Amino acid sequence: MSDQAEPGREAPTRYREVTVAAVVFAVLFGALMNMAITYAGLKIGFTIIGGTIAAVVGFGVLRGLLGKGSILEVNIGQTIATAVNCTNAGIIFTVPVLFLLGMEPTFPQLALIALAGVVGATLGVTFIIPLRKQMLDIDRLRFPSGTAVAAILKSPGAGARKSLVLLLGTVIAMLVYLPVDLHNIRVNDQPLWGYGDLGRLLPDPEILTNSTVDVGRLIGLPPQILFVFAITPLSFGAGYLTGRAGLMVLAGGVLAVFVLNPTAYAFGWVPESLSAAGVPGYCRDAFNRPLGIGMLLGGALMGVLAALPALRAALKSFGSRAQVRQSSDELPLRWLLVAVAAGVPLLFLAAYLLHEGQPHGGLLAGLGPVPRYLLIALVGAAWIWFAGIIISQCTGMTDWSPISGMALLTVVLVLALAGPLEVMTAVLFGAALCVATSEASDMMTDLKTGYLVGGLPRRQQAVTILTAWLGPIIAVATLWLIVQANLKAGGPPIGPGTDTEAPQAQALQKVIEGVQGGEMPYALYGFGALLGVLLGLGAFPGLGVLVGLSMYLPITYILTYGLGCLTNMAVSKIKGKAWAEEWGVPFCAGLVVGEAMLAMIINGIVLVQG
Amino acid sequence: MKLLGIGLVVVSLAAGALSAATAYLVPLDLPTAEIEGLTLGADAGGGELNLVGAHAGERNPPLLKKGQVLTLAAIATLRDREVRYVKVNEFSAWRWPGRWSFAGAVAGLLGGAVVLRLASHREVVAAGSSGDAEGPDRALQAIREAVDGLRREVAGGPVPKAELRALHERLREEDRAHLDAFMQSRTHLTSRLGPGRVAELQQAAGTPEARGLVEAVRAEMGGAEVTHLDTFLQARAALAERLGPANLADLPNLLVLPRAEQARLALILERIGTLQKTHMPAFVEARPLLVARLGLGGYAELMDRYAAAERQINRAWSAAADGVPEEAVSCLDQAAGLLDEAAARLGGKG
Repeated sequence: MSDQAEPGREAPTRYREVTVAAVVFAVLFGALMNMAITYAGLKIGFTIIGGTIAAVVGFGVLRGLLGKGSILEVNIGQTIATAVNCTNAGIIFTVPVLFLLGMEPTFPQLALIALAGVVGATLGVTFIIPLRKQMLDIDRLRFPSGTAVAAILKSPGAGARKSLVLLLGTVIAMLVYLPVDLHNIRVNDQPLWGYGDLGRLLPDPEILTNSTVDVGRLIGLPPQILFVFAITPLSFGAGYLTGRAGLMVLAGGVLAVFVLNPTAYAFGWVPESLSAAGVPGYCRDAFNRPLGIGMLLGGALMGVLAALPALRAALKSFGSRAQVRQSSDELPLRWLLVAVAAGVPLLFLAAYLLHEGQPHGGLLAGLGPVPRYLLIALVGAAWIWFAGIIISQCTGMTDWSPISGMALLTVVLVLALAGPLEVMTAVLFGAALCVATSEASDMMTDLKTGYLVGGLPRRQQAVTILTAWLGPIIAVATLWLIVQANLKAGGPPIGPGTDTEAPQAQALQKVIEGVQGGEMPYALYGFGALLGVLLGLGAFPGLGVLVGLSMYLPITYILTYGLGCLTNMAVSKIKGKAWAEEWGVPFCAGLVVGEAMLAMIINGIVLVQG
Repeated sequence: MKLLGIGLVVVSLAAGALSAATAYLVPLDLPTAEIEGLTLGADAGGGELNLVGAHAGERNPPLLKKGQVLTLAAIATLRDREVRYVKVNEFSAWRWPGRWSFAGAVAGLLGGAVVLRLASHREVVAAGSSGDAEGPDRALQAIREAVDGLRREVAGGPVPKAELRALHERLREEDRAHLDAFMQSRTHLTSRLGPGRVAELQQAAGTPEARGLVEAVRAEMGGAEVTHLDTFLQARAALAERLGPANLADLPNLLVLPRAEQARLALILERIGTLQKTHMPAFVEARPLLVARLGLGGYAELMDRYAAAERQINRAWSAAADGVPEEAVSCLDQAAGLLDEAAARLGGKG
């Protein structure tokens, strides 16, 4: 009896996944995005990962121009492009602070920081690989951006109507977002039109600014209650894609804005010289942020503890699969071991070569330089692992990644160990951590996309490891070029007084000065962590992460995001859950694509204008 | 009960956050010795500007700036101006005004966690005993059936071994020889002519229209290969005669025609699309029930297999959308095996 595969069938068409075309396109496009976004991030203060853009452009190039691209090939392309691009946030959050503090790092010193970034990128990816099963297969985290990219990738097979809905979302997002970003472009030295121009026509011009709508002002709330929505279709779309679970994020923001801040004002816990309008900003720095970051840490710790049995089971299958049957889903564990074995010595080497003179204070001041920096490298690597989990959980649950908070903690940790004057070492580890956590969350987001379109995890993991190291080098080189250009123009290297103000690095500068001045509210971080742990005992372990995240991130974006969550719930109630998923997801994926693409285009124009 | 738990957690969280916010505040009614020498962590004093012509909300400049040390004179000035609190850089549990309310909030959060856990346990038990929603067993079974059905319908390639075996057992000895001859010749013809032509032959066999087609194929093949065509036609005719049309219809993998490629791809997209909207989310949403039933470790082992199957199903969809049926069919085959493993894990511990 014949039950074998019919040999008559034509030789099976190889399903295109990892191809030379996809890799070359993605590395070039990722490098281009990295340079453009590094510059734009230093100038206007925000970055984008660009998975949606890479997916759309990938389809255009691989399928449109080359006529070959499959869904999985484009997925590999966007995986590589974002791996190369995403590290710029880590560099621009941290490295410019050295120039802001007047330390004037030399090129070799920057090269060592870039080396730490390369190590961070590799560690970030390899550390998070064993957690794929936990986060995607078992916890089923949503990763809204990853879901949006999957919706884009699937659009050719999902039917014309869904593609039209996605396109509609893209167009609407571009139209809504255009006046937000347009003013960054200058014509004849004048910024172009923005929502702020429209706002000036209103009786109260403060209600509508270029990027926000002050609903609190509109409905007459007192100024200490900041009820302001950012105009960002991307956040709205991400909120919709998260759905009901995102309401927990809103809860933290509501606690901070509607309970903590007004109570602090009413009971005189804020300086009396502070006006009511200054209360939200003061409270954010004084207690919302440290409490929020603490809660996030406590919540993440509970998440890890609660997941241990599942993690053990996942690791068991991870290990055994390497030995038996069928090709493995994951890269083998030895990649992780090799990365750690090579990464920790390289981190040590970079820190050791960067240090200058004797330590001044710090917990490890009694040790010689070799054991001191070796210990710091080990602690740094362990912290990178834990922070990678935190950031990936946050991204998975909400699409927000509190990288700047983790950078802040890293710098504080290293300054505590090495001494408050070891800023260069602290920034080196801060950069390595930021790059690592960016890569970790991007890896998980890409793996979520891969899961939804059926990509093989090990292929995505391998291409990311092989290309992610490029990112920090490109970002540091771009930063170096910008600094040289600013110096040539006769101004400071970076920061106020230049086109590249580096707003995020200015926030880190304040923190470093705070540590050096003994102003860090360590107790608040501790109380926040305790609350985060306790929150995790009840409903679900990661609750502290969600609540803490929104206490610490800018409330304007959280409110718009929350509006997206509420819209999802309302649509599900009215039209049914299936309808809300079937049509809402492509539309909101379109919103994410539209804003990201427009931001990228405007960044490009800003870059060309210089 | 759940509402009570949520209420307790919300109130305790708010109380805890409010109490924690006062950690660095020092009430100025504390004994002077406890305050003297501390460093201000924020500006102190000021208050509303009560001058004629001042704007509403305009404030006086601070009495003391952030970073100043609280001396006896400074403390006296602040007390004179009836400043209630100052923020300092140094923390002390004994000075902390909100320490007792924070302790209460911690107790409240613990209590709320216990109540929520109890409520959640009750919900899971209730959900397990009610048959309203699609349970995980039914959902998984439905997914398996759907994948198996789809594999049968799109099979232009190998016939599943189990099905052929079952068919063999149903046939008499002499009919088994016809079946084997039919399968072998069909394989040879497909390799020579492609599945589309064989499908046409299979469909037309026994009808008046078949003659022209058979002659054309015979001319095209020529030589010894023609014997495969003859065997194919004879075996098919014999099977049809022995089994009858009704029984033929029961043998979909064997005698139902391979579909045209586009139709196969469309079918894969449609069926998997439906699965992704119905049974697959239903299975995933049963997580609390499954965790309660299998434990976290058992649930993880189950989901390890299920998720691998789901990824193969998603890959089948992508391959179908990209027009690569071989990959789609292969993924469905792998998904079927993984779903069997998932079912074994679910059933074994159920």
